[in-house]
Amino acid sequence: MEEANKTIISVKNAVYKYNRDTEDEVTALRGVSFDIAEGDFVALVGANGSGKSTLARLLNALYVPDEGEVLVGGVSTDTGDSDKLFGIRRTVGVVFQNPDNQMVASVIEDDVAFGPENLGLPPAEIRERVDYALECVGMSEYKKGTPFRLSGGQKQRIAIAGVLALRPKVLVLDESTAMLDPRGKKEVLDVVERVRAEDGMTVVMITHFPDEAARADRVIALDGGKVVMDASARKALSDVETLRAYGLDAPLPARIAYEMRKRGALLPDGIVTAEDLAEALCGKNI
Amino acid sequence: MKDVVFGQLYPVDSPVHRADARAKFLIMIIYIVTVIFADSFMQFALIALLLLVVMLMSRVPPLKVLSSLKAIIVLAVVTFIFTVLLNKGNGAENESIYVVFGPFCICTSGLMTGAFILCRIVLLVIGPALVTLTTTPVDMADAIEFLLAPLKLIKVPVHAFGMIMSIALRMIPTLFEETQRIMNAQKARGACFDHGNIFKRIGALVPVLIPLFVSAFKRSADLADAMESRCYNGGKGKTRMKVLRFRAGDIIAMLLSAALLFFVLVCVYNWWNWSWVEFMRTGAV
Repeated sequence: MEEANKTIISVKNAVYKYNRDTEDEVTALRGVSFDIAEGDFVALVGANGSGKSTLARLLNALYVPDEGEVLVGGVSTDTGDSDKLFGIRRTVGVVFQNPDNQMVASVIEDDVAFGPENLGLPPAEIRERVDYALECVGMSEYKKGTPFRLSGGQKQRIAIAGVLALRPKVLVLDESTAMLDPRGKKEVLDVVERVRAEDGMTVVMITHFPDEAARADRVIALDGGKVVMDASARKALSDVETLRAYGLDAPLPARIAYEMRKRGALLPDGIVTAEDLAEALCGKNI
Repeated sequence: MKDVVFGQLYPVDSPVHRADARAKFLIMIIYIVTVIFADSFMQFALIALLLLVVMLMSRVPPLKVLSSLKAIIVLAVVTFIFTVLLNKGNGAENESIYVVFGPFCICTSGLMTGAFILCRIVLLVIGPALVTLTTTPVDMADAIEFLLAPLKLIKVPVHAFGMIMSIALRMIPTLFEETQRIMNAQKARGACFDHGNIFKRIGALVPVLIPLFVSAFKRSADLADAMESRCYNGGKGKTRMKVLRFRAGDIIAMLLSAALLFFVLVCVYNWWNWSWVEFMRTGAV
């Protein structure tokens, strides 16, 4: 990680239960704590039912933790004050899994304008933000069109634009690539890289794809509603055995290195990407 | 299935297409009132002439406009037949009765009334058809929301209506796709939608409708999350990117249509006993 930046999201011992105080009570999060600093690129990984999507909804006050608290820019999400709530949702923008279920309007630019319109901004500024957001995701030429004929990746880019139009500091992607084909995934991830590089956006990417997590700087793994790993991406993702214990796969190069090491090859630790593996293999005669 | 975004829209550029949807909607309402008040063939001729001018301005092919009559052809024919048959004549001297059988007869005044009602139905359909042919449903929904705005004073949730219309338009193609997908899935498991009598067919739709409803509820929950994440709070303090503005042309068109309504009312009631009004009452029914 880079120099000690300002903490923007702070999750403190958060517990969240669905159907609280009923027979069907399910505890999704059992005391989760971590801090995210401005400019971080964090991957939240976890098997199905590990609580990662619940966590996404805690980060922008859609859900309020039953115990503990979530602070966004120092403000607790447990607030009845709609100005504070707006502040939190302007700071943390969440993109969800299914692009079809996130669009409210039948014309692309109208959909992107939805967020800024809700903020009550003047029309000229909304227009400017919409153009900026569509530019960011590379969909400007479609702005007068409809989302129906677009590919999944394009639709998801529109959904990201809808969130970017709020000018958030943190972009949370809740398995936003899970329903997309490889090309769509790449389109979305490229957009994420771009906003990180150009705007220094803080990104929290919730995913169960190890290759996607490998793009992040830091990996937080959840299992059974608890943080079981919080380390640099290189360290976390090359730890094949631990990941496997939590029902997660390491990226393919890490697994290859692991298997080779088991068979006696002397490879260095921390192999995560194909480049790492190639370097380790070609730099060394096995 | 036709794209709901464009609906019936005939996509060409014309002054009628560019006109403000709210103006078109208001003019349509005034037009309908005018057609209902008009009581002579001469007035219909005037209205039809003006409608023809608008149609030519809209650059929508006349055949396309006339094809909107297909939907009401049965209604129009049935109405015509019954009006003719059930009209007993006005008892005037010059009335000629052509055919009599049982309680029915065909007479001049019956034919006149039938033709009159037929004209009225045709005009009532073609006018609004021109509006839908030149306006996208999205603009229509916006226009309706705007025109309902005065109801806010009596606490009608107008913004919610607008949001509902917008989301409904947005979701129709998605749910349509979903229906197709579910039907295919059920077909793959041996369901049969096109055999048997009507009851069997309706019964066969149950395994389609239930998953469709379940998924629609799931979608609505997701959508609610996404909307809240984007700072939606029921439309309080919401602004609009696209500010609707009446242009001079829209206002002139609305004034002209109001003038037409007034003219027709004068023709019908002739408050000031003007003599030329008799001409406009040619073919009165």
